[in-house]
Amino acid sequence: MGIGGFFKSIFGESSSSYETGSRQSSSSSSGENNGRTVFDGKKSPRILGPLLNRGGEGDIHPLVENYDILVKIYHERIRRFHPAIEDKIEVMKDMELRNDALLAWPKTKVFGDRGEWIGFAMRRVDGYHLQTFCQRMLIAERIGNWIRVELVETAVNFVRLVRRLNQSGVIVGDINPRNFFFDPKSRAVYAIDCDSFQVRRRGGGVFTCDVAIADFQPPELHGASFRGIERSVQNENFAAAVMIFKMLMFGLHPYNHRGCGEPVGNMIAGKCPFSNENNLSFPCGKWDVYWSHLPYRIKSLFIAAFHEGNRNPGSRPSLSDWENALKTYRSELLRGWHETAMFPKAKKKRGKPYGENNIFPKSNRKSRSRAA
Amino acid sequence: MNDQNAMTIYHTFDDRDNPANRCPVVLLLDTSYSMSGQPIAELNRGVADFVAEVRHDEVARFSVELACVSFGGHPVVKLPFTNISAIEPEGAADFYADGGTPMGVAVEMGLDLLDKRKRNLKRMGIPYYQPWMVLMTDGAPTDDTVQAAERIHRLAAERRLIFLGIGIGEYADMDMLAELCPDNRPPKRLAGLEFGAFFEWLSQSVGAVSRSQPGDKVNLPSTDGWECV
Repeated sequence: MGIGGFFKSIFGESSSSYETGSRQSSSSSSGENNGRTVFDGKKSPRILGPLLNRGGEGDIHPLVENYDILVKIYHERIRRFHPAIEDKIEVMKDMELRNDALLAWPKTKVFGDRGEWIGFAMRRVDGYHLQTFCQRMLIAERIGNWIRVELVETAVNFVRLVRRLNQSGVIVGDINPRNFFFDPKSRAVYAIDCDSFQVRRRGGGVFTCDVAIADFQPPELHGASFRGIERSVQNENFAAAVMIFKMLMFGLHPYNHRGCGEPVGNMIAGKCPFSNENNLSFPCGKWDVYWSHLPYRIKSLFIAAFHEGNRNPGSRPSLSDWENALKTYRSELLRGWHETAMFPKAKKKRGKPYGENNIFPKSNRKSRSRAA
Repeated sequence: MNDQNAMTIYHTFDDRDNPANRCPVVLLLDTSYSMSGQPIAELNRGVADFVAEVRHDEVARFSVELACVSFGGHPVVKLPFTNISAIEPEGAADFYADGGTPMGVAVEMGLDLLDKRKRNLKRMGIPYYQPWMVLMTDGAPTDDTVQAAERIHRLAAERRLIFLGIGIGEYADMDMLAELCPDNRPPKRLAGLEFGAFFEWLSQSVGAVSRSQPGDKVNLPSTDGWECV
């Protein structure tokens, strides 16, 4: 038996993702579909370009005639064993969200030369994964000139995008830093892998989201497979809060703390390090420094999401709570109320005006009176 | 020559800024005299390609940390645990073929490095995946490996180590390697000098691990590209 046969994944394979623009992530061979002629919904022939990315479910190729259109060709076993995917794409391609410029949404079905369904076409999106915010070194490499204003704006755009999807009855489900891109110039946030989203069926019920990265999923979803489970807005609120936390805390997981265990186990045990009751501390490093510079309101929402919201899904902040709090944070940053450096060196000092290294003129009353 | 620390760590990478779950990988590389010439050149290139490949992966490059012990003449820690993103790919592999094959000591040296690293990660509050240890040899040990085998078997049974024994060429003592390897994961013989294919497989495997959760089971890619059947 080969080494590959030893293991069976419990979550299914990770969904595919691709990164275009300055970094091509594909390193495998060009794939057997390179140069293949496929057919769109109107039976017009289209030629596939070289493999851009190979995922667990399928391969992504651009069209030779237009590199801004990407085609996802599902692996044969996926088409055979999960025929509902075709129905899901059929429903998705007619939804209003197809026109949303921030989504790599399935626009049209794609067929093979015998007329069999094989995948779909979507718009290409460019940028960096939100994974960038999870590593200080990636931030330095890619957006080294950013200050917190841009970081918070990107977080607002992420929240808005997920909120808009939720309002259309769609649940992302598999929120994770590799399913979203951001544009380093405009700070716009894009969603990819839309075919994994949970979408309403026409006759009632849902097409479920069958993939997940475990450390983004709320405690109530652990213990069984993520496959076939209908996810709620409250599940989504938890996953979105983990993503926001990872963005504002540069990759740290909210249930990661010194002295014990891995985050998912801590989450299930309800051990959140920044609630006062648990008496736990952040891992070694500057994490407590970054935490100290977050506004009180943002911290309270994190505590509501990960301490109270751990056992009680109803206490988790909604995406509109997050949008309001993050927008307030942004405007307060511009008014000089908070530290603007991405990586403050020392903890926020009590009694000192916010943002000692602030690049914006201080306009809050407290610092004016100090200057007088 | 053996005493040179030949790997280059090109800048200081602060562990405490890196929140990624870690995947420790120890390479135990036979650099005895019989490896000289083309085998050692291919091995070097394989290790350099491994580092370069993992560096391409924006998740794995912060997750995988590599340590190398070479055993030729006497075992030497060529590289203490270093995050892949802090290793210069060109300088990654620089081993010289030399002397006998003290495999038992080398295994224990690698396991000691691993113990120390795991203690440190625990203390800092950094989660880690089941560590990997890869032993590559083209011959037979010139020392006692009983104690080393016991430690490997115990760790593997507790699912605290993935141990891979790889035989290179026709003179590799596969029976001895089988004694060292855990029962459920017998040694494999490398086809020809397919170091490149092996290390590509290893980089894909640790890449898959770095996208999983500590403790999860992970599907590893097929070994067809490099395994001699």
